Amino acid sequence: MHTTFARASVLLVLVVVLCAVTAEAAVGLTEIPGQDGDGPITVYYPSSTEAQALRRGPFTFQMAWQGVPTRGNGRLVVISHGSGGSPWVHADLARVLVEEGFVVAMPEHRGDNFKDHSMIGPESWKRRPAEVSRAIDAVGADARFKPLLVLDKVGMYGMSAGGHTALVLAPGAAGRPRTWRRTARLTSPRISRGASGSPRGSRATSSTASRRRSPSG
Amino acid sequence: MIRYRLSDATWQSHTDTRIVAIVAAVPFAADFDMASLTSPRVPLGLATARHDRWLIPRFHSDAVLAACASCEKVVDLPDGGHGAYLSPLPPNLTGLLGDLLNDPPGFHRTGLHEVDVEIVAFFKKHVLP
Repeated sequence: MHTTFARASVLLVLVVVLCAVTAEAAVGLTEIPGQDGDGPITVYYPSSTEAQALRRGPFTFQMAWQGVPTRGNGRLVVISHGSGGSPWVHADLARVLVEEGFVVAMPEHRGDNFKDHSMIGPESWKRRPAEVSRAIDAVGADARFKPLLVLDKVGMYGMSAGGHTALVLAPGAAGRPRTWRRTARLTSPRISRGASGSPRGSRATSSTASRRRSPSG
Repeated sequence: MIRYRLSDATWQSHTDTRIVAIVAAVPFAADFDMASLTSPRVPLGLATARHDRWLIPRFHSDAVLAACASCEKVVDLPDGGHGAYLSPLPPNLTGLLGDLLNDPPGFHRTGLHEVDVEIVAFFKKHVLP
């Protein structure tokens, strides 16, 4: 009798452990407010909540909106989007990061995102690195993520204008005006977000800025 | 060049010591003082695309790689354009945006998962444990 109970207990423990190992964490998705007037920060993270089909812009993702966060590897990666970018155009990279246990934060760069093109170019480039730092602060201050992260080793990925942000944080010294005026040779596309169906997440060229704003130096 | 460095009040840089590994994908890099990128504070990886018609590698990512001996070429897509690093890519891009971001002929998105895996491997290597 006693032995049977012990065997059953062992079996139960095994089943629980097996379930814990095989249960794949879903990709959780949430948005937290930015600090100091920054735009919102989209956060992708390991979640124990079941994923559902989420419609975002022209895309549908299998993710858990406001899902319960679970402990991953304890590390954060910040993704800086390109000019006119949305949080969705790097969702595939975010998913692979989350599957490896990372939490991923995507700050919406002020004046240079899919909703607002007003500061595309150098005006945004100067703001972006501090926006990345404040995004790390904001995720670290969030009650859901604070207990799951240690923020002394953060990764940073940036694409296009976000790649510029990444290089400034290397830290590289940016802002040499004449060169970028010469090499940003492409003309600025006009982006409409109206009835033409021009997708969200589309981006304007960095050279937009070189046309709009002559460098002062 | 030296004159610009001395006279340009907009010269910018930013350090956040919490950031310990960086990947720049098809970056706008032509306005950098490349001397400042010769030995980055942290491991710096570049992800490039040979058919990038927007930020032509020669002026941007390749200029960084040429200056920075310690930089790691994380991914180099021989057939990819600028938009190869948008995944998912917004559908129905037309006009100049379409020309610059849509995939060049012969480029297949099926390989992009592996690109993401390479980028994540860089972070695993330099950020974990």
